[in-house]
Amino acid sequence: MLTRRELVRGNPALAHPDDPGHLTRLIAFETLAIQVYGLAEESTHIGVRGKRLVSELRRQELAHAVALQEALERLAPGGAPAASLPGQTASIGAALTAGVEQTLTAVEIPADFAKLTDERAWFHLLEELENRLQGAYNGALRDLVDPSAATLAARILASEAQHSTALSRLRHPGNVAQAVPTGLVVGILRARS
Amino acid sequence: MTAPAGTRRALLRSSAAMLAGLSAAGVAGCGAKSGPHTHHLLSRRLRRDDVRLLNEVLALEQRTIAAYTATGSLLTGYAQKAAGQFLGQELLHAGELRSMITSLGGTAHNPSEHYEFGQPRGHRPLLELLHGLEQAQLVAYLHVFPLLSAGFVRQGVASILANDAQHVFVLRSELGSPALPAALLTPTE
Repeated sequence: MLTRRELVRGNPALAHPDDPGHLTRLIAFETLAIQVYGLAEESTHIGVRGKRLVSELRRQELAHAVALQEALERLAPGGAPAASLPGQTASIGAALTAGVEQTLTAVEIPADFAKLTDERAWFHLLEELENRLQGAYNGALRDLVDPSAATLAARILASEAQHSTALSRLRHPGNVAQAVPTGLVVGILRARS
Repeated sequence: MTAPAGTRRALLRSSAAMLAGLSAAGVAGCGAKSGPHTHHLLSRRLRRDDVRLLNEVLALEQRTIAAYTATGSLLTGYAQKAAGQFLGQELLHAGELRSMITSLGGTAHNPSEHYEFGQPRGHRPLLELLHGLEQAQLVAYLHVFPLLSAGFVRQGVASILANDAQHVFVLRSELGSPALPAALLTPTE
């Protein structure tokens, strides 16, 4: 029977053995987000205001990845498995774009960068990405045992929710129902049927 | 046109009966998403502690519900729409928290008899009131979160926290403050 002392102490030795796995998966999602936001920053189809937001969100996703990596190092010092999603690559240029498309598809976000020919299309993709990120965090929160790791995941989930609202407000100004559509932020956990 | 002071005072003081009805009614929410079997892995003491913590944040949600109820008609435009949207979501939060408390074998506390919010006059003071209450919720959630034991409770609380963070974002935007001040939600946001 678990006691509070065992749960709250945050001793890595007491963390659930799956916790590092959950964190590496979240890092992989954040890496994907950083790559997609990076490609959005380079797009000529997004206006000045949109670019400013995209740059800020990319900076924040990077901060999320760093925080997660630090948490992972604490739970599994030097022994954490490499984080990656299906098809994920560290390539650059055209290879990066193809790799990112493949990874997005693998996590059930249909993406064809050649068809992203206006800001609306880009923002739709970014909103889908944020929904998927939220789903990943929501899923991990059910299973993360280490209190510090779980709290970090909750803080990042809140940040991702704010990202969705920021993107929506730019795309649908004046529409609060679109900006904050639901009272429980769970994201997308699995493919839509 | 603003409401007379007496009317405003009455509006800003909500009845327990109305709140109890609003917060308990029909917003059953999804409640315990993980199976009930997970609760039995926790000691009775841990479940009791989770119930106490959830009642603490439930009290804040109930207070915020009262504020949105009282101020909605005093706001205009987008802020009024937001207040209406957020009231519905805060009611959902209260329902979810009550459901979690019940799942853990506890009893959810009822709202207070009345709440005193002072006499904010004008659009901005009203928004500042609501922002302050939402921010207090974020602080409370971040405080209790690492102390929660049950996985399904953490998951549920995190989804509520994230929504309240969205409320703070919108209210900060309406107040002209930086809406995304930090990459990681902090208690001092």
